[in-house]
Amino acid sequence: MKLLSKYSRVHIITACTILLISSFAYYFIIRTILLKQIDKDLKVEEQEILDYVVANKILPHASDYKHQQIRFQKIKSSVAFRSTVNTMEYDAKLKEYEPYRRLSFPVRINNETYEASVYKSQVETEDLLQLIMLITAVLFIVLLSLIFIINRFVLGKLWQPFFNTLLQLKKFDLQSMQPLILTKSSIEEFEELNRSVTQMTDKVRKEFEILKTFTDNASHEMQTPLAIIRSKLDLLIQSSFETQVEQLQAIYNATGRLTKLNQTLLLLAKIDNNQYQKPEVVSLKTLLESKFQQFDELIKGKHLTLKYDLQEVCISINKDLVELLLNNLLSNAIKHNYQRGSIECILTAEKFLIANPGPALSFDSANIFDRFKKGSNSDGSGLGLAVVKQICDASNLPVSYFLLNDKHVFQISLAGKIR
Amino acid sequence: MKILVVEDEKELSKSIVTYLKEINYVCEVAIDFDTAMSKIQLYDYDCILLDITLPDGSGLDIIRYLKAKNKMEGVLIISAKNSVDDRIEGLQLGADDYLPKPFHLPELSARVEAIIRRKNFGGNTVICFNEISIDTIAKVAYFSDSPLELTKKEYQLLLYLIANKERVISKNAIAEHLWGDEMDMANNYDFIYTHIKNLRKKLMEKGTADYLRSVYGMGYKFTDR
Repeated sequence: MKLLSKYSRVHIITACTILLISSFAYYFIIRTILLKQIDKDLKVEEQEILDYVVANKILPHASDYKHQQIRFQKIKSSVAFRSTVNTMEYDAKLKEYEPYRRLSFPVRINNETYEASVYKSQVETEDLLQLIMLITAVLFIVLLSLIFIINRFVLGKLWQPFFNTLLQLKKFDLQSMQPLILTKSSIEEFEELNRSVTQMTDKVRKEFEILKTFTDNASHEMQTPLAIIRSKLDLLIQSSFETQVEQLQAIYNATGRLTKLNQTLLLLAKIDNNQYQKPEVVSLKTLLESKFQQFDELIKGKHLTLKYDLQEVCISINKDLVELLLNNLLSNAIKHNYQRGSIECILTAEKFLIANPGPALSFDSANIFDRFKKGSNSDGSGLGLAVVKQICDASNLPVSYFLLNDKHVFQISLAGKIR
Repeated sequence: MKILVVEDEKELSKSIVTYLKEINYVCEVAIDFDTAMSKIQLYDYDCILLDITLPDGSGLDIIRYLKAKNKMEGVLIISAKNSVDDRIEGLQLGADDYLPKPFHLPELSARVEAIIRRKNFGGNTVICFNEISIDTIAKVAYFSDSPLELTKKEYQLLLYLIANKERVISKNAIAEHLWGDEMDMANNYDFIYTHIKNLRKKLMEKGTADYLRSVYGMGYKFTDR
């Protein structure tokens, strides 16, 4: 749940509860006050009647004014209680029952006991209450809408710096080497957040830079010793004995692998450092066809069937990179294929697909583009697909891997790069 | 042919010199910028193998000096840096070729041979090995004046072998020469064998001696001995 909705919800629930409780309380308090007022009026009336009885020794006339009725009733019992109750009385004019407040009290005249009842209509009270409740309800709605609006807009505005920071963090890209630029906020907490985030990302960037420089330097420094080993091997085989041949070949191959590995690491560092920038318009169809030519021997060597359906598609990309990309994808498809297997390539304006059957992955396919991730039987460097991924990332080409009908498929989405 | 090897790694320069001497090049070594400059000022060379990163200067300055003095030396940059920028800068300054470390010595000698051949304007663009001759401009190989029907790869292979005649060339070096290092086929050299076999067949059909010897387990050698 979003912070704002959570906050709004709590706010509105609290406000509703308080408003409900308070309106009930309000209702009862006002009602009590109003009843007290009526009771007071009734008492005045009682006093008037009693005074009249004392003065005139007769009962006053029963009366029926609007909203006030006085009735007398002879009662047998000499004991009568004074009581105040709410009743409903039939109103002949309105032809309906109306709420009344009745005060009953005993009146004694000449040893006879009468019960005097004074009725006072509560209609006005009810009307007043209704009006008050209506006003309360309106206020209620206004208040809730205000809370909603405040939460929605004012809080949204208040939290804006936070969302800005969040957005910047989301966009933060180590590769781009751009420092994080956060908008200043007048709110201390957000300013502190920004400071911490900036500090952290600066540190991360620095560490990343150090790591990159290290890889770069280490790989560079390794080139020379590798060159020496290789040159010594080239000399050694001029005069080797047959008994040493296998060992020498093993050293050759190992050196070759080391060299390849090293060069790939350097290449990755270079792509990282954006050393391949200048994009140019490349015809993928032409390039692919030349790659098929180039890999022809390898494809035939494994008796693979090459099927392709290529449309004329030109994209803007660095030529060296796209060549490397296709090299790696093709050699991957050849290497991890069965003897007499197949390779299928499809190139359309939307995407490039390369599919080949092959042994199932011995690791989670989500890690297929990770550096040094390779199957247990692979004698490759484990960097080929990492390079593919890196090139795709650097060129804004989304690349994905999936298994379809027991075929390993690599798909590069070309949408947005078409020229 | 006189070659100057400017390389601060002594072991590497020693290997280069040993290898090139065997193919009858005369080699001198300079292990730093100053020595290299003084040698260049004193003598003329056919080709200079130049490491860019030297302890006391940049190899690029040597190229600048050569061009300023209008010296005709061919320059082959051998660098561990292998960065696109360096390569472009070196070639723009007038270097003839660029070979990233680590390289195979046969590759180096083939490149040196090519540079010298190209520098010899009007000179000999034909390479000969006994009765085999290669016209490097037309890219055609002849056996006693009758052209050999070679594929592109076979032609490259023959040129490479002859540039490294009498030397054992490893399969690794051949693979890298013919297919470049971008084809990561991880030590699968079966397909080299096919090319070697075809080339040998075509040569023998024309009546050459069996120059192309296979060196057990190791590689191949082009020799008439």
